Amino acid sequence: MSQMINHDIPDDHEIQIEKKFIPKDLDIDKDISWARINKDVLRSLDRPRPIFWVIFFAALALFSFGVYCEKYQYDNGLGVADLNNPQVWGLYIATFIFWIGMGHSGTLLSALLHIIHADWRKPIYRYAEAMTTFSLLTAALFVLIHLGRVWQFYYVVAYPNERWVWPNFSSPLVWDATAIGTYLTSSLLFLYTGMVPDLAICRDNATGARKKLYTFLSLGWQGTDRQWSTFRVTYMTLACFLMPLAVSVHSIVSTDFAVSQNPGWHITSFPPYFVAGALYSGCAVIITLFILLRYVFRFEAYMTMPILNKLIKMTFAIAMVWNYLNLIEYSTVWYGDNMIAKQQLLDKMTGTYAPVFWGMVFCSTVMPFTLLIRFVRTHLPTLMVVSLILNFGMWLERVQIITPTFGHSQYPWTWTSGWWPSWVQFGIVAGSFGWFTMLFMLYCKIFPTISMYEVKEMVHDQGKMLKAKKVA
Amino acid sequence: MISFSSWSVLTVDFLIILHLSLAGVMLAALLHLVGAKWRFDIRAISVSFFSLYPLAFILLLILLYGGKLTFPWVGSYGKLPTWNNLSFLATREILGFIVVGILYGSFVKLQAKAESSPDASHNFRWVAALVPFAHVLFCTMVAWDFEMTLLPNWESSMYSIYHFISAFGMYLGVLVLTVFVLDKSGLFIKSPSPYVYNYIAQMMLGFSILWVYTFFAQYLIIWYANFGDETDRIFLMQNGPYGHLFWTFFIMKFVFPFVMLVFPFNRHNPGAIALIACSIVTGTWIERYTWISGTYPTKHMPMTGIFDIGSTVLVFGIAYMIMRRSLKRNQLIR
Repeated sequence: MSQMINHDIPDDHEIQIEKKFIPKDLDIDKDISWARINKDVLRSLDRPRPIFWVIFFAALALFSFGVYCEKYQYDNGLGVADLNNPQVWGLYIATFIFWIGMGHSGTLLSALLHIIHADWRKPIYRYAEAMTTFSLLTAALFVLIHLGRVWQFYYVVAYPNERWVWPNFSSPLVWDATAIGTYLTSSLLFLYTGMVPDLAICRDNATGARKKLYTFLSLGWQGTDRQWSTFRVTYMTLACFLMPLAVSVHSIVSTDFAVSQNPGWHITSFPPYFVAGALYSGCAVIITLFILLRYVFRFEAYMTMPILNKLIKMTFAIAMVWNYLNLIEYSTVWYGDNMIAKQQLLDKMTGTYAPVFWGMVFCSTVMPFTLLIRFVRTHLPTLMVVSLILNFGMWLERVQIITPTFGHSQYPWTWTSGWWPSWVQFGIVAGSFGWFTMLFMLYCKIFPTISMYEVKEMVHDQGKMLKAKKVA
Repeated sequence: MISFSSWSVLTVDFLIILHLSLAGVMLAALLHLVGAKWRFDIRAISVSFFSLYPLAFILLLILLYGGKLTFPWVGSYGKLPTWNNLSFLATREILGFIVVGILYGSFVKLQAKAESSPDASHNFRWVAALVPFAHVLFCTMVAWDFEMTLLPNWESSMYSIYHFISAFGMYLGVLVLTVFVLDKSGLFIKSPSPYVYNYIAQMMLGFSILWVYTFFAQYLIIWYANFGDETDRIFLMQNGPYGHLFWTFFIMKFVFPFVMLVFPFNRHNPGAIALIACSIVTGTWIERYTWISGTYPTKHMPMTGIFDIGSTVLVFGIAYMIMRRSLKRNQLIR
């Protein structure tokens, strides 16, 4: 065995030969001038393509329909959503998990890639972080909506009050509210901190009300050595803090299910499964938004194909981790030979909700393999469709965690076959997509979606790297 | 009659040797896939550990020969489906060994000539992409067969992840110790660059945190749901005769490495990194004993009998000689 590696001596000559095969394309053109970077990004705040407004108003229409459905439900009670025992969560909590999941990848990937000094994150991390913030805001809506009596949300919020009425701290729902609140605050802070130098550039180039806004938000940034030094330390500290926080938040969301004694939910691999699912759906959305923003704001020079290629590879790797976790979950049920758990799994595969299960398998297990095809990776309209299918698959995954489990639990008298959500639920879910898109597009119109100062660093570093290579 | 506790010492030896031989190739494959520039310093040493694979196979055969002594669940078919028997276990383990052996062997072979042409580089990349799949699936099977299923009716879907993350963390410890000892003793023909220590230390910190995450996530869910079938095994380990071992490995695998490695100056100090590596390696060893022997605790503590010490010294003595020979053959050491 050991003879096989006889020639594997990493001498200098060999290293240089291999290095020739490493960088095929630069992540970004090294000849872009810094002034052009400013100009291109600032232009996106002024004059996007007309399709921007089409997307915005379509989202607004969708959101309005969602508001109508919510008002209808509020006036008439949860009955109009067809929510009743045992189907008490329906699409609301499934979509809540979906949005929470999406909210994870942006900040988590940005923080992780920042810590490991992956330069290719620089043109894309800003919008990914914004996506996190708006996803979390969207997710929070579902916590209120699914209650029916929305004013009772404070039962899950841990706050001191003079009557000494405390929430139940041993309830995972309270952990959930606390974790998500912390994560939203930290993500917002991370997004804002990273934007400060760019806000100063906006301030210096804006007029009127925008100038006032940017002046206020840029906190007097002048780009002095001291400011940069403090900024770097703060940003890195936040990144290090956010990494474990993000993992813990989705793990805590998983405990809403896993700590129960319900056979379809009491699964010890749920925490990493939820984290992997969150990263997976988030990466798919990052790809969708990458293609969208690249076109709408004419960012072809910054959101380049080599960067997209790296993003796709990362998505594929995470998809495989998610599939592995799915596989061991089903294998454990099979091995454990618990009749109820087995029946429940079989019911998912063959019962009323079989289309949801197999839809998930097709969209989230089979479709990622299309990412191995070069055409899919390089043809943006096709890639956009694939990324949307991946997202849809991840939404189906959340639905199949909740609805079939409620419908086929421990006791046969609670079994509900044939239950499907009402149009009100679908309307509110559709409205949430409108709400997210509307907020996100508004953000892109007001704040720079590409980090100007970091792209400049990237261009500088790439130029330096090339020079060093030429010398070598 | 050799007790289960003694016999489990051999199971632990087998698992340690197996994971050392597999994780070396896995690390080289991962570093190649992510394009880590420091892989050139470490990959030859890393894949040298694959030379321990035949030893792991011999140990597997001995353990399979042990039958009910190695796998106490054999025969308890009231609690297990009948297909889960010794013959099926032996078949899948041996098949798995052969498939993984062929794939990893190809990786080692292709790595040696990966730079000779773009075609060779392309082939090598494909094999490297398959290694993580094989590693995860094979290690899952090993974790189930040699640890999780020791107690019929105890299953945890998290267990396999917990197991191979722990084993990979241990491998990083062994790797850094190997580099440190060879470097200090001047045996290297060409020493790896000093920054390698820092990179491995960062990975050790990452895997230490990941390990405690998998440990706690599993523990929390089992503890909260409070099913007797699930909690018994954990509580027995935690509070039973092996309780002190349980807390020892927790400290050695997480508390000490985390407290040390979280400070950047320790991550740049080879001596400190080697010390932490010792803690992780020993902690993993104790962890394996606790999970295996702790399932059926007896008055006989592991590593206190002649068989325990003798077999372990013999196994690791052979492993030492194989590794030394492999490193020499690969012209890594004098």
